[in-house]
Amino acid sequence: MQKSKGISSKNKWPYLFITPYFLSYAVLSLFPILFTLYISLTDWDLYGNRNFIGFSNYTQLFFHDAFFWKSLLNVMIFMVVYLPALVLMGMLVASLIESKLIRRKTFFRLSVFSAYMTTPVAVGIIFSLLFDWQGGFFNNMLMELGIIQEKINWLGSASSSRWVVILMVFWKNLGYFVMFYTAGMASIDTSIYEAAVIDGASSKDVFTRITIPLLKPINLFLIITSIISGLQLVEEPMLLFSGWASGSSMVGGPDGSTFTPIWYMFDASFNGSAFKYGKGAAIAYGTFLFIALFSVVGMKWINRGGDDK
Amino acid sequence: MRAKKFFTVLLLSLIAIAFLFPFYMMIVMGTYYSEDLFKQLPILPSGYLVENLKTIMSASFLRNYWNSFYVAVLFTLVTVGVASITGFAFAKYEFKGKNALYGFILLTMMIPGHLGLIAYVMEMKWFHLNNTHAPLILAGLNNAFGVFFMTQFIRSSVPTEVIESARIDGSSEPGILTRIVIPFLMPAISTLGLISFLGSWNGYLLPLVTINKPELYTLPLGIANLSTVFRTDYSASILGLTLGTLPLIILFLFGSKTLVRGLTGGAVKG
Repeated sequence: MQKSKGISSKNKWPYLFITPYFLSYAVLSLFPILFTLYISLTDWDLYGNRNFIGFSNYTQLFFHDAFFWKSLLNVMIFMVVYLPALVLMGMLVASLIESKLIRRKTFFRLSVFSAYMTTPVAVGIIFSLLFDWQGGFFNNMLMELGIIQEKINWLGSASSSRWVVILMVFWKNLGYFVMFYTAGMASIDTSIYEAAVIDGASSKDVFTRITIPLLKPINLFLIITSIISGLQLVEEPMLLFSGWASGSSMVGGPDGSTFTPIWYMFDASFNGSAFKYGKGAAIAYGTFLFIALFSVVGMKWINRGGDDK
Repeated sequence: MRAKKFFTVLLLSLIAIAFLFPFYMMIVMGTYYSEDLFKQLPILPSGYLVENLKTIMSASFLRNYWNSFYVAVLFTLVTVGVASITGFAFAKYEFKGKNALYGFILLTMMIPGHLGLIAYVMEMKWFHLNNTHAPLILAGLNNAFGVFFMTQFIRSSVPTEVIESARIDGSSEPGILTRIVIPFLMPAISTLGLISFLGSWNGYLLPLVTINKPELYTLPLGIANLSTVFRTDYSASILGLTLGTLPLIILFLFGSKTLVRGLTGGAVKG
């Protein structure tokens, strides 16, 4: 009797421990997610319309809305450029910092990580000031160095604004990648390296044959989370074009070249004139479809790459 | 060897400079008179720091600072607390439905954070919690990454034998959690705590859509709004941003070692 009571009281504990998580998940995450799905099937707006209209938000979005496709295309262009750069540079910088030659590791870690700690608001504003047409630091510097004769309107044309956004995201996230690679490299058993060196492996061999394969789980983690967060990019480009330097704000940048899906969602549901929640919800779900698709493709791709190792 | 070392240090220093540069610019720009900002290359600090400080202080800057601070502290406590007990349950107990529930949490990590935003804002309105800080703090209650991170860490770093011997000694399960497990978790707690604090402190979109009273603004919101309050006073706003980043730098300076240790012992250990 005593014993069975002991067992049953032991059994209730794990359930009690996980209750706060699942309860709050149900109320604060699952419900909003499902309810957003419902909203996306209505014409819900500020004026109190909330008629069920089926999939027309989605047909509108997928077949008649060039902005939606453009915003998706933008974030994909960004990712295609900065993701490989982050992976390569991240590993390189991390391996430099972790090499035995470096003593002031904290300083170097902190300097690349400082960008990641900076609020997106500041990142957007700093870059809008650095790349300002008339008074921006970047133009002034190029002029003084005599590299350009006339100031370039970086944030005024579609292609150069894209590059500024790519640079901005790269600058912001490299520290995050370096941090994870640093942690990963620190957990690799040093005897593996010592054995390789005794066997006469060059440092390049060590890097490509030992370090990179052993970092595979970290790569999987970083790439998948970067795809998820990359498709949700919003605050930095939004503040880049919030009118800090130019004086007037611009939705989506020149020709919508830096418009992102979540920016679009925000604009449709919280910033427009009618607060079209239905449309905003459909944009959220439309984007989610692509995130799911790309996460699966990303995982397949990484796992395939690992088989021949 | 010596040349190699020199080269590595040089290369890293160049990278560090490139990365610190915009950051450095931010600090320097905060010391300029706004009109002078664009006249020359602002490379060396100027003497307008105190004036700029006065300007931002007059714009409820301290109020925003305090809002951000206490919201971030509560958010972090809630995130780490829930993630720790949930992670403990998944790492050290056997119970019915455990694998399915844990799999469910992993699956939800794939769901983008903004998916339910619109309905979350509506829900907060129904609860009459809009224009309070509650929506920002409550968002920390269910952090799937936090649970995943804690579960991994507890699995690999908390010896089951210690828990079992405490149980034999008659310790209750909550007692085991608070007296035995939590002390083992300090590296993980500080890592997850740093990440959570960072996320809350820097958050922009959620406060933007749930708060529209200036006295409730958090720091990023307040500073983004400075640009509309003082149309031309860039340098004052930049100073605000610099001061807003400072606590994070200090936190990281002290937490850098534990951050790496926490990541190593936890999630990324393959």
